[in-house]
Order: sequence, then C-alpha cells, then structure tokens
Amino acid sequence: MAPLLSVRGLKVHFPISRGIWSRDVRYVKAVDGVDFDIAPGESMALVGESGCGKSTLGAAVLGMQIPTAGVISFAGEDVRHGERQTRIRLSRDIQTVFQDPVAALNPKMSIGDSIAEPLAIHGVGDAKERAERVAELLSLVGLHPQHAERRPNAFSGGQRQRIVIARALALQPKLLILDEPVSALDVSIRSQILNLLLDLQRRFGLSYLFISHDLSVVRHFADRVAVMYLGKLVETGPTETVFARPVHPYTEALLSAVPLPDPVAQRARRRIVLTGDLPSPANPPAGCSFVTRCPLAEEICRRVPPPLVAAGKQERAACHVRASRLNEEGSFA
Amino acid sequence: MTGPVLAVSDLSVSIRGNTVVDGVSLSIHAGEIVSLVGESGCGKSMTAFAVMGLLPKVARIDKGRVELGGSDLVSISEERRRQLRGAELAMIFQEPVASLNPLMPIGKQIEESLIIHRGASSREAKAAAIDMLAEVGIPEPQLRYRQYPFELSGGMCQRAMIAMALICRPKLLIADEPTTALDVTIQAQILELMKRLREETGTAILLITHDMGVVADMADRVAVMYSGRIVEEAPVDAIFAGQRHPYTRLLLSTIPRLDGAAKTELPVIEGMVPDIGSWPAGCRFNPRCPVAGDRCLSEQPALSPRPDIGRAACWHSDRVEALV
Repeated sequence: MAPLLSVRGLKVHFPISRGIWSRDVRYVKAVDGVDFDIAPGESMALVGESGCGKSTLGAAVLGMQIPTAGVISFAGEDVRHGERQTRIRLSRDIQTVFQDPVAALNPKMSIGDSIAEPLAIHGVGDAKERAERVAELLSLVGLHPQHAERRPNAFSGGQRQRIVIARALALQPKLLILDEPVSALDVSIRSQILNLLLDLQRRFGLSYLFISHDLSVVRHFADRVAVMYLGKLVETGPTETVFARPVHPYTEALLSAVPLPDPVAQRARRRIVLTGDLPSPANPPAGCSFVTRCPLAEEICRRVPPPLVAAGKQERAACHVRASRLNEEGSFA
Repeated sequence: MTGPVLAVSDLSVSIRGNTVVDGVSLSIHAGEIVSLVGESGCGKSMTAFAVMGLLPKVARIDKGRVELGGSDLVSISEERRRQLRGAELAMIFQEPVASLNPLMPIGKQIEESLIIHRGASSREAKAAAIDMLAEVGIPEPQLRYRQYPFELSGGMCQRAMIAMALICRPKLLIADEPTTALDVTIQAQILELMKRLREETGTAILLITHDMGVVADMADRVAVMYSGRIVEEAPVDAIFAGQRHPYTRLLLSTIPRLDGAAKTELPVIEGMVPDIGSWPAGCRFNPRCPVAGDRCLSEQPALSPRPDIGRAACWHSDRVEALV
C-alpha cells in the first residue's frame, strides 16, 4: 500500500552562535536525517527521551516547524512546496492533539465554538450545519451534545482531552499527530482516552503518529515503533518484534528500564542501567550518537556514525556492533 | 522489631473547611519503603505535607497524631519542627529544578542543613557535601559543588536534591513523585540509588507515586488512597497478587503493560474522581464501583483486615476478585 505520510532525509537544525561577535555559528541538530512512512490506518509511535527531537519531528510534519532539509509528502504530495490550495487542503488532513488539554482550549470560548472553529476557518457549512456537526462530534467522543455552550473550566482533564480530540476530528483528517496525549491524565482516565483513540481509528481508518515516552502505552497502542536518540532514528520495526527482540542497545536499555507493574516479575528482570545523561544535541559525539552511554561500544563506534540498516524482515537498526554485523554475515542480504 | 519510625494515626486535614485527608493511619519502620498510591486529589501529597509540617497556610490539621520516633509532630512548636525538618525527616519533590535555589551553588544547598542542624564547620560541611555528591553518583563532585542548578541536567538535579535530603542521615525520607518528571533511563538510575541508600543508611522511605511499575519495583508495602482515605493497604506481593478493594483492582487492570496484549480494549474505571468538597455519602468510590450495593451508598466501610494480610475498606471485598 502506498504510504499516507512519507518522510525522507528530514533535518531540523536550529542555529546557535557562541558569543556576540562570534561568526562561528553552530547548530543544534534536533532532527538529523530521519526517514519513515506511515500507511493509511496505521499507527506509528515515535519514542525517545526528552530532547531527542521527537516533538520537533512532529511539529515539522504538522508544518509548524520549517525543516532545514528533506521531503515530507502526504498522499504523494509535497507538504511544503505545493500550491497554496494544496497546502490548505493538506492542513485539513493533518490534525494534532497535544499533551495538555488545559492549555489547548481557549478558556473564554465555549467548547462548541472551539470545536467549530476549524470548520469556520475552512468555510465548511453554515452556522446551523456547524452546530449539528459539533453535536455529532461531542457524542462521538462520549460527551453530551447539550454541553456545547459550556466553557472548558466546567470539564475535567479527561473530558477536556475528549474535547480537543473532537476538535481535531472536525475536518475529517486522515492523519492525527498525538503528542503525549495521555501523559497529563490520571491513570484511571488514561485507559478511557486510549480506548477512544483506538475506537476512532477503527471507525474512520485514521493514521496516527503517536509521540510518547511511555513505552507501556506505546506497546499497547502502536502497530510500528521508531526509537529516536539525539535527532536520529536508531531502530524501527513492528512494535511486537522490537519490544520482544530489541536490536539496538539503546532500545534494549530503554525497555529494561520500564518497571513492570508486577513485583515478582520485576525482581526477576535484569535492568540495564545506563550511566550518564543524554549528550547535548549541540555537541553530539562524532560517531554513533549513543557511544557515550553504550555498554557495547567498540572503536569504530567512536568514529563512524552507523547507518540504519535491515536487522530482520521488517526491522531496521543503526548499530555497528549488532545490526551491521548481522548484515555482514549475510543474514538479511 | 523496634517501634515504627513514623506512625500516623487518624490524621485529618482540611482546606477552607473541606476535608482533604480523612482519618489516615499509616506506619513505616526503619529501612522500609512504603508506597502511597492514588490519583490527583486523593490526598496523598497533603498527607506528606502534614507529616513534614509544610501544609499550605489555608490547610489545617483537624485531628490525629503524627509520631516520629515517639514525639508527636502535630503538637510540638514550629521551632522544634524546624529543628527536626532536614535533620530527622526530609523530603524530595517531583520537580528537582524548581525545588532548588537557582541562585545558590549546588554544594552550598547540600551543606546548608549540615551546618544548621549538626553545627558542622564550613570545611567539614564542604568535604561532606562533596562526598555526598559522589555517593549519589554525580561525576566530578568537586566541579559540581561549585555549579548552579541550571548547569546540571534534570537527573543530576534530582540526585543533588537526594544528596541534600540525606546529608543529615534522616530517619524518614518522603519522596513525592521523585521520578515522574524524569526519563525512564534516568528514572532507573534514581530508583537504584534510592534503594542503595536505603540499604546503607536504614532510612525509612515514604514513596508517593501514581506509577504502579515504580511501586512494584520499590515498595515493601503499599497503601492505596482514594478521596482522602486509605482504601487498601498490604505488603507489595500480596496487593499485586490479589486485591480486596475494587478501586485497587481496577486501577491495576487499566494500566497498559509492556508484556500485555496489543490494541485491545483496556478495562476502564467509569466516571471520574469526585471533587474535594463534593465527596459522595457512604463509600466514596460507590458512583464508579461495579460491585456497589445499597449499604455502600449510606455507610462508609472501615479499613478492616484482609483474609491473608493487610487491610481493605470495602463492604463487598469478597466480590472484588471476580471483577475484570
């Protein structure tokens, strides 16, 4: 199937200069050469720790961040360089849900007006039709259509996230970018929102780019996963296989660091505790970006950045020690 | 076994007349980690603040005792409480960067309590602070001693806060969501560090969290709070093996798991946490409870012994296992 979203060689670099008179302009390479596809109806999770560039990548796909290089195409059309009309159409097809539903809603607008706003901007229907659509969207996300006149402060955090989801669905998008959509919610509310998102995906064939640091949620939610470290993808593949048999040592450490909600199983696990912090993205290591924390690092890792290569039927990984070696042995040639 | 380090009995706290903590009893022994679990607004942080004597001005303790090593923290003077805080009991918070003084070098903040409470000279204090920085796993402690919080990463700030809390070897450490703001690989480092320090110093830890994975990893005993009350309490293995309160049962079942099924419908707890001040009559979980009966609507269940070990507050605790 042709991909709905295709990202090739995407780079987002932010210039930083040292000192007022210095001409030595350096860059924070927030996203540094990323390729991936999302098929219609598929959900792909982007995981990684804070500062790895996952939200910047999401913002670039949304068009809220201008890429330094690379191509983002949606249903075969270039998102950035197309005609104005094309770009307006694409902006309807790609919508977003952010982490904090309190900040995402205008406190002075009724929730009905908030949900109708994208319809008004894109000139969809008249006032009456828009009101009908708002009622339909509210019941779709499990809220009372009669509550459209209320302001956001009349709703709890979980309900506000439902309102934000309703607004994101107003223009019948094909792709939703979900940036930590349940991280700010209480545990008992999280599962309600995850169920809602999965249900909406089944009903409307939505594609999701799911940005999250919560690996348990990702395991439950996503078909495919891409692990990001310092602006680069280090491993991609079907969620099941990546979580069962991680190839990249970073993925392995990340998974082993998540404590299981089961004391007996947790005691039996071996935790790989990484030493040190994420290096500054302004000054990444020369070779593999993970080399400073990697328990397997060899001499080559310090010099040469590893390419993202096949490491299984559908998996790819960027590791000299594991993936490249598998390929040299010809296992996946 | 000697008596508990901390014994909270029948503690109630209210804010502007609305009860937020309602008759909480809890004890922690030396070297023990007790997890206080619950969602926002359940009163877990207010319980901790009451123990620390750090309640906001609008809050007041209506009744109950908070005994630390035998003396009641509720009735002692503010002066005495100040002497104990930092020396005998210490607290670390969720936001390490926000909890440190941005204008004071890390080392100065760590040694402050040693100088105030133990009367250490500045040379002794400096040496102790540098040792403590090394002990919590901060590389180049000599350099870090002189640096300011903005020069350290979030994980390092959390380590610095732990160093600050433990430098006087307190009997009790309260950790309020200590790893919630951190990435998982950094969380793993901090959790390992807390376990190691507990082994070495015998400090009792009250760990407040909403992350059941962290609970399973760290706790010896677990107390679950809902709407101001403890609804279930048991040793960690017992509570994960079998629950006797429907809230605990449902809470554990709603979490997606690394080793769980993918893309299935997760069990949910219907409705939402009731607002403080509008708690329902009877059992406060009754509007969301699938096993609630008539009695639950009018009578509040007391925390009574579970059949194996621990306590639960439910009129129908025998029906909980059949849920989900």
